[in-house]
Order: sequence, then C-alpha cells, then structure tokens
Amino acid sequence: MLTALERVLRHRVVLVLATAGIVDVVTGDPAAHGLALVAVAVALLAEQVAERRVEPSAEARPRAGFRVTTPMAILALVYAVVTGAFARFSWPLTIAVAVPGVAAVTFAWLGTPTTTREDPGEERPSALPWVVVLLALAAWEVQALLLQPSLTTSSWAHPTLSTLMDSVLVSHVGRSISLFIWLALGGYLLER
Amino acid sequence: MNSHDVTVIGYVLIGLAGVALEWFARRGSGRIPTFSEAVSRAARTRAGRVGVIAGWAWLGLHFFAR
Repeated sequence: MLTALERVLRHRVVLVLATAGIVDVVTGDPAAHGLALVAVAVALLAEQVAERRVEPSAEARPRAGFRVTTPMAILALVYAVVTGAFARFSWPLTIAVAVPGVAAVTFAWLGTPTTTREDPGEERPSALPWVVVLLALAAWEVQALLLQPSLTTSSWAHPTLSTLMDSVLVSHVGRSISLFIWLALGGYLLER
Repeated sequence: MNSHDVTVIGYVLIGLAGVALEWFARRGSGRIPTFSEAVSRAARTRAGRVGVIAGWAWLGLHFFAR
C-alpha cells in the first residue's frame, strides 16, 4: 500500500509546477505566467488520475523525437533578431514568445506516450547532485527575493536573476541574444 | 564588498558548481550523470517532459512577456 508521501511524490512534477506558478503570481509577475504553469499542472494531474482508471495499453506508443537542424537554427536566429526589436513586455514580444512556448509544450504532450517502461535491469547513476544544484539556485533566488523591500519591489542590493537580467534585456542586441539562447535551450530540451 | 556583490557571487558559485559537476560526470566515473543524461532521465515520462518544457516556456514569458 502506498504511503501518503509516496502518493505525493508520484505527482512531484504537478507539485513543482503548481508551487512555482503560485509563487510566481504571489511575487507580482503577471498572473497569466503563473496560471499557465498551474494550468499545465492541473492538466497533468487530471490525466494521471484518469490514467489510473484504465488499463494501460500493451503496446506503448513510440515517443516522437525532435532534432534541431541547421535550417531550424538559422530560422531561430532570424526569429530572435526580428522579435528582439520589439519592446520588452509588449504584446508583439509576448506573442513572439508564447507561440514557440505553446507549440513546444503541445509537442511534448502529444509526442510522449503516457506509459514509459523502465528496464528493471538497467542501472542509472543518481541525478541527485543535479537536483541539489538546482535546489541551491532556487534557495539563493528565494533569499534574494525575501530580502527585497517587498516581494513585488526589486532590489539592486539583493538582486534576483530577473533583476540582474534587466540591464541585458534593455537593448535590442541583448534581447535578441537572450531570445536565441532561450530558443536554443528549448530545442536542446526537446531533443532529450 | 556589499550585499549586491555577495548575492552575485552566490549565483556565480552555484553556476561553477554546475560546471564542476558536469566536468566530474564527463570524466567517466559513471556515478554522476551528465546534465544531458539527467535531463533525459527527467523527460522519460510525459509528465517529466511536459514539466521541463513548461518550465522553459515560463522562462520566456517571465523575461519577455507582459
């Protein structure tokens, strides 16, 4: 029988997304950003609950692969240069970021089967060291956030990563380079 | 050194910890996965893959979108 902790840990992705979304809204980001994460969390939870009620299919559907090609990289570069001209937090730049974001989440959802079989004989090194580094980054970001005058007022004395990026993203060049890195990171993550 | 510098140094040290971890992983002891292997493992399931990509999409919204 599953303990309560095991039941909670089984939905850890849902928990992380929902927590991040709620914290994002509380700290003054536009509500749509945090709510997008909460919406994905709710959809995943609904699917996981529904999945427990049906028999998993004997034949797992193959996972859709993704490969970044040279034309895609060139297109991403042009996209970043063009859309980087839009002002930060403007509607055109919002749409320019939302379109690849929604497309990638949709691809990841539809392209990944719900059932993934683990090979019991396969031994893998623990990813715990990476989890520790990511948690350290999150903790450092939170301490900077809590040392601000308020959760919604940024502070140069205790800068979050967002505050540090402000000076980079103020220029067209800075936005274009950052957008290209963001798109490249998305391609890299989809390839995994 | 003021509080701004201390905060920035904290971020730099965490970044360097990540670089060091990747270096150790690539030396091939097999006890630590590379960053790529760790992400691949997280993205094995639909929830994991969607979670990773949703986090990436949020980064874009957070830094650029209204």
